[in-house]
Amino acid sequence: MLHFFVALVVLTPLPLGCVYPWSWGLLAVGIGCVLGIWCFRLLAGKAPLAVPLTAVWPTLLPFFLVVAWIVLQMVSATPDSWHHPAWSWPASAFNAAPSSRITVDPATTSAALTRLITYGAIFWLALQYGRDRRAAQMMIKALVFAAVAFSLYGLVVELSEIRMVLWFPKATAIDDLSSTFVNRNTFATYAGLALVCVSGLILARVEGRMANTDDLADSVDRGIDAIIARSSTLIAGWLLIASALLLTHSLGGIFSTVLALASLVALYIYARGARREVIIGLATGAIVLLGAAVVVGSTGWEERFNQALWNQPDDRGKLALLSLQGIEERPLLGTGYGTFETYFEYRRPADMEPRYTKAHNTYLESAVELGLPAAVMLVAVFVSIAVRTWRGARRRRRDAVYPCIGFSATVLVCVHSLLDFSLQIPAVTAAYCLIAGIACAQADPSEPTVHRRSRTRASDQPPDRL
Amino acid sequence: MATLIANGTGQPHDGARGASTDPIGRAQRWTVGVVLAFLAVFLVVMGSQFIMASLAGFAGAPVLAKLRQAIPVSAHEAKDLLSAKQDEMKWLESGEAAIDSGLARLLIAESLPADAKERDRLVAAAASDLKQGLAAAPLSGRGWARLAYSLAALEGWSPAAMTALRFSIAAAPFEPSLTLFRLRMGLEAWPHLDARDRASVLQQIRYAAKVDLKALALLAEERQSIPVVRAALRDQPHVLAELDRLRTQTGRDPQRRSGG
Repeated sequence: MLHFFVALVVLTPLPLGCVYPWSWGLLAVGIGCVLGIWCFRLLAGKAPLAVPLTAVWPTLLPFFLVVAWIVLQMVSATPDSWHHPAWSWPASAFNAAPSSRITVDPATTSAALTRLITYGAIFWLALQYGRDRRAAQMMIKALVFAAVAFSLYGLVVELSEIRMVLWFPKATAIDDLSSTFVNRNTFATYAGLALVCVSGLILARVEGRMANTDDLADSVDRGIDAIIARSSTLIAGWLLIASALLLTHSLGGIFSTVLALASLVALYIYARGARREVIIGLATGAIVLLGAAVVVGSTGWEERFNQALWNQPDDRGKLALLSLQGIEERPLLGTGYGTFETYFEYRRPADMEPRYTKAHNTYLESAVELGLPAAVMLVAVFVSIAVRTWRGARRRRRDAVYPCIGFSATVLVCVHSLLDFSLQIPAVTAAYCLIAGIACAQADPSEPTVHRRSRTRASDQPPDRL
Repeated sequence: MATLIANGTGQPHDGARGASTDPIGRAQRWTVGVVLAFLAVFLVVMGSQFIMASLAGFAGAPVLAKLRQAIPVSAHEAKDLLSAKQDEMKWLESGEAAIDSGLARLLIAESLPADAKERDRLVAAAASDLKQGLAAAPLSGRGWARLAYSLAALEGWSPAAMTALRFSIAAAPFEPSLTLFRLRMGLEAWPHLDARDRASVLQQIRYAAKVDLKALALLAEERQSIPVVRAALRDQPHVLAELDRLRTQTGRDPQRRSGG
């Protein structure tokens, strides 16, 4: 069951990032089945509650409050004064009396709620399965290998100038790599998440080898040996994913990834007390490598930088203002989760392009749709994950890299969400939830003060053998 | 055998295989199990609904894509769209699907001769679908525009038809794909409109001038509404000049038809 779960999550980018209802519907059914079986085994006493509610309540409580609020947005039992004024239109036009609600489109809101609960379920299953260190490692590696495969596909398509996404002709950003995703920025976030994971694995391997000696020269030798001889597969994967990321020409994606990698290195040094000079040297090398690839890799960059610095690249500023206007209109209630596109059509000014369906800022879009209190709750979910993984990185001796990866992945998605909508693409959010679940599961020390010997043996076994 | 795993507070917690003897651990296990089992059922049911609705609606997707690109569709394609949307609605109660179903019926009606008896029946059925769709998704500019069209076809420019047109403009005031369609109706209903609705139509004319001035010029000629269009654009002399140039290009005399 663990393998089926991992396969489901890591293959989500394949059907165009799971953006269509049939594809995220399949993901929801698959994850629902895994969760149902997990529950059955838990209730039958055949599977452990590896991470208890008490350990993750700061994440679960705001999540369930948001879910409860979305359900309230969809039901008609709420006070009429809360309902969107558009619900009075059918009555005045053709004497119909529909069940009015807070959301302007209950079908769209129910679709968005289904996706949100799917993400929550992925987080929960990763949290429970990821408590076991071997399962955690397997899941992270599976994600990395899948990302390498998708990057390789993207590179082949890009370099052969096929200009297709699977068997569909590319409609947007024709010269940029987007792999199996429709949008290059979305793939950039996905690749960034994978790059954080593979960087974490390399970092842990190198630092583990270097930590065994006090002599700097010997330490560097061991580090180089760890990179060349023992991490060649990971290094090859890193280079492939990084190349694909660069060819997306996504400034926001690259910026968030660099920030996430910097936070990974900083937290790892802070948490492990590793040799700063060597780790910083490695990190600098990686960033220089990325920078060099930017300079020599493609001509698309120059255009992108010029566009971002000197020209108005798009209507993002106007979108932000429009979103603020939406928040001002319904600050507490929102227009209904998932209904930004409808709101946008309703309030779009004449001088704005109609091509936008998202606010290009997940925080503002969530505030428009959910209202401010629920949007703050949704942000609190990410803050709680960041806090838990930060603490975990500091607390853990062995496997501190997982909480570090989780923290950096959170930095990546939270920063990128300021500029784009990657978290609204199921494949990206599924990957993030997998990483976050594993990181939160591994945030607690594996060796308690009591029953140390028996615990260590137990932790070497998978939490269950589904 | 019980396995103790330290939780965040440093207290051991139950990670046991088999039933826990700790009442708190057992309560937590049951709470988690029952709540998550409910969510698992929700995911399976909702996910299946969306999959089935998508599969049912697949046949209509190419037709909708054509319509979005303003490519005319045949009666046969419109029937495919209708059948797909009807199937989709069996699986999922969606305002959008009902609105598209209404559109399909209108397209089939349009393909029939003007005096065909079947035509009125189809337009009435379209209006019924559109009302159903708008009762589920009231902020659909497309839905209101199509309802205004069907009501006007059935009963002329009745108050209900004009209200539908008004709501279409209110729901999506600056939607390029709807502007000319609504403007055609607005210019047709012009004599029946009050001052507020006329102001909305004038605003649509200004927007249409920005979106597609040539199409606006042709529409104004076709509907013999040059004075209204010129009145809407009177603060934009350069646009007016361009409008007149376009009308000359299409073989019209701007002075004669516009009333000067």
